[in-house]
Amino acid sequence: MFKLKKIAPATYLMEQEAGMLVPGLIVATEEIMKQIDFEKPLEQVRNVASLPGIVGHSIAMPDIHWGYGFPIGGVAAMDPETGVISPGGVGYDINCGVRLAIIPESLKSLEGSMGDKLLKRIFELVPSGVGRGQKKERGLSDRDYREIAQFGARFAIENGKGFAEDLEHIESKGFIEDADPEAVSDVAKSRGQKQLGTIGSGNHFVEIGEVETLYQPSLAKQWGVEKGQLYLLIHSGSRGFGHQVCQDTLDDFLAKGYGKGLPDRQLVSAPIQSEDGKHYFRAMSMAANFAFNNRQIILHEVRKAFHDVLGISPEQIRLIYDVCHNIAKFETHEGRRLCIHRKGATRAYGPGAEELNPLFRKTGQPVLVPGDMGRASHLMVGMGNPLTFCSSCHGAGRAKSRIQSKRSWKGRDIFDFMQKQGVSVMATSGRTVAEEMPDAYKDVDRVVDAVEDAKLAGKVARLKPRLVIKG
Amino acid sequence: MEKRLFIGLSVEAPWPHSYPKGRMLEENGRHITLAFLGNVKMPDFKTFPKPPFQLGGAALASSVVFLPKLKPRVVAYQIDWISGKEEMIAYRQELYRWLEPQGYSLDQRPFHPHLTIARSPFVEKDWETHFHPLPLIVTGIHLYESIGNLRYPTLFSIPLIPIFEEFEHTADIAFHIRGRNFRELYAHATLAMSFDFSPFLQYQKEVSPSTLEEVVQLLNQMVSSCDRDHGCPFKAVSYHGNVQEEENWMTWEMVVDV
Repeated sequence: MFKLKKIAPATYLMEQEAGMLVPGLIVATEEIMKQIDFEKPLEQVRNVASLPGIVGHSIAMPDIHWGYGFPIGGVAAMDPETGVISPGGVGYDINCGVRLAIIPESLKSLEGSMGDKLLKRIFELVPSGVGRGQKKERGLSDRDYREIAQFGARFAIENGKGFAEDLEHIESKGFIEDADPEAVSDVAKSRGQKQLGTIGSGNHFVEIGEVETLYQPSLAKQWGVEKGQLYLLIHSGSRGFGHQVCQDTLDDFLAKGYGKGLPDRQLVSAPIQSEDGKHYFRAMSMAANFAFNNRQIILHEVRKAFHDVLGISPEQIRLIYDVCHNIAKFETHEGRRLCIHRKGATRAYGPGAEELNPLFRKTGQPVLVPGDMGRASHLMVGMGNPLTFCSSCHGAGRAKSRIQSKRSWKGRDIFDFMQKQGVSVMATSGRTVAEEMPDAYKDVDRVVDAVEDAKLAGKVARLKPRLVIKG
Repeated sequence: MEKRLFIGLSVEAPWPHSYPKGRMLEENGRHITLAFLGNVKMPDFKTFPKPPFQLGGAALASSVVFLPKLKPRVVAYQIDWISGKEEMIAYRQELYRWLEPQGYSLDQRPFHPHLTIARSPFVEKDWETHFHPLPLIVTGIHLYESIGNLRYPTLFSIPLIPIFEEFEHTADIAFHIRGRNFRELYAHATLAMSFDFSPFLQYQKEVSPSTLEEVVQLLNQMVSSCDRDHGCPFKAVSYHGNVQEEENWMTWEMVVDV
């Protein structure tokens, strides 16, 4: 049992034990901590605290759960001179993330059969689920990969899939520097070849719903978000391309002996200043840019679906923001340049952050917190909390394992159940839906309350799902 | 009182959701026959030979066959052992050595294990078209009674330890994989993942890894190839966990990112 000491609302200190270079910091309420087995993820928080060059705290968000090496919902800042970079601190799905767009229509526009027509059209245009890659599109060429490295999400936009304005509404403007296609294996490139613009399986989705509640109406107005509007939420990442980058690096790091003496091989990491560390950063950045393009193309296809079904022109569907929640980035915090690992955690810059566009520099950046496909998701605003290196949670976090969820819904018509909750679901695999049913997740309302209490991000709007596509 | 009896192995598999026409055996009654006793008196359970192994072994239903060949009445899957073949053959011989002195008349033909799936009427071509290789795990040894209507209650059972078992993992999927060496750990891990996603099976290689790291790397190469060709629900097999030495085998806690 870990001894945690409450130091602020929804904020607990895990005292520094032998082997830990920094203490742990847990953002959660007592209620959340009772909901899942916290011991294993807390062990991982402790393990991360032992990595060379870690600064501040080994941090856990309220949606924390057991991951590989690092917990999911973990944040670790490393000194760029003495610290390490860890693929396990980023995750397999490099730059998995979420983007939110607003549609200037209300739920009324989806009445009758329009909602189902829209859902069907999106399902046709955006491949989802295992094995559904881009069949019509040509695969990515070496030149495409070079351009993805060079331009980030601008690659998709310059190929007619979006608007230049979109870039101002993507974290890091949809581009991580230092991306290098030469740092990525041919296997990764072949896996990614037909996967741009596809959702994938697991917990990835496209969701459309209604802005149900505004907590900060004046801020929401500045962002162009109004109560009753339709919203679009996209959750996906770098697909097989990113997974392979992570796998290749883990294999390479372990083969080179970087895993020796670690409490968990999945924590394997290389010094940031080493050639191996730099190589991973270049490959990871490449996968991050791939993921920005993936979400950009999915947005483009959904805009097309809205146009085809409801006659809404693509430029009317405004991107609010796109956030990464599996990434390592160099950022400056309180004057110090650090390599921030966020694995299942979202950057949450407050007002004044230089990287943000003028509007968000004034207000703080949007923070997107998908919940589950039945209850809600949340739009929040970053508060720039230095204790977490301006980080916040990335979702509700699972409360039930996939087996538990499947078991509890076995033999029941899950699509009918969701329909009765007011949510139409379309999926390639019924099994995925069973694993992703709302009760498999913690109540996102409680999670964002914890985040707000801890002053990481403030609630702006509650989003209620109506149409969902799963893998 | 005489009963129609046989000794067989119970199996589990990711059974297809639909089949061509035929009188289907219930999933929980599907078995691999080791010794058919016929209409006989009950054997003496007290001396029933205990198997010298505890792990259940694994097999592949590699093709569909129709038995008997001349006038087929049965649709069956041919069984190719992945692990446990020698032990199973030796155990069958031991069963014969136990049964024959008791006066049972046993089939003396060479042992060609198969799994009956359906009985006539059926259309062979439909079954051939429908068939895909199917992974199987052996879960126990049983004395079955055939009571008609394709029902086979068990009269006596010796449970075996399955070569894999799924366990709870918050975000992903996880298995306890068991095997007597790293080759078996690799083969059994492949099987566990194939229960989840059957196309994965076709990427299995005939290899003999000598470390757990090699096992993980081989599985991840399969994930990469499968993802490239078909799409794959698995992102990767993690390096989590070490091998635990048990009595006669090793257990590995395999976590698969999905």
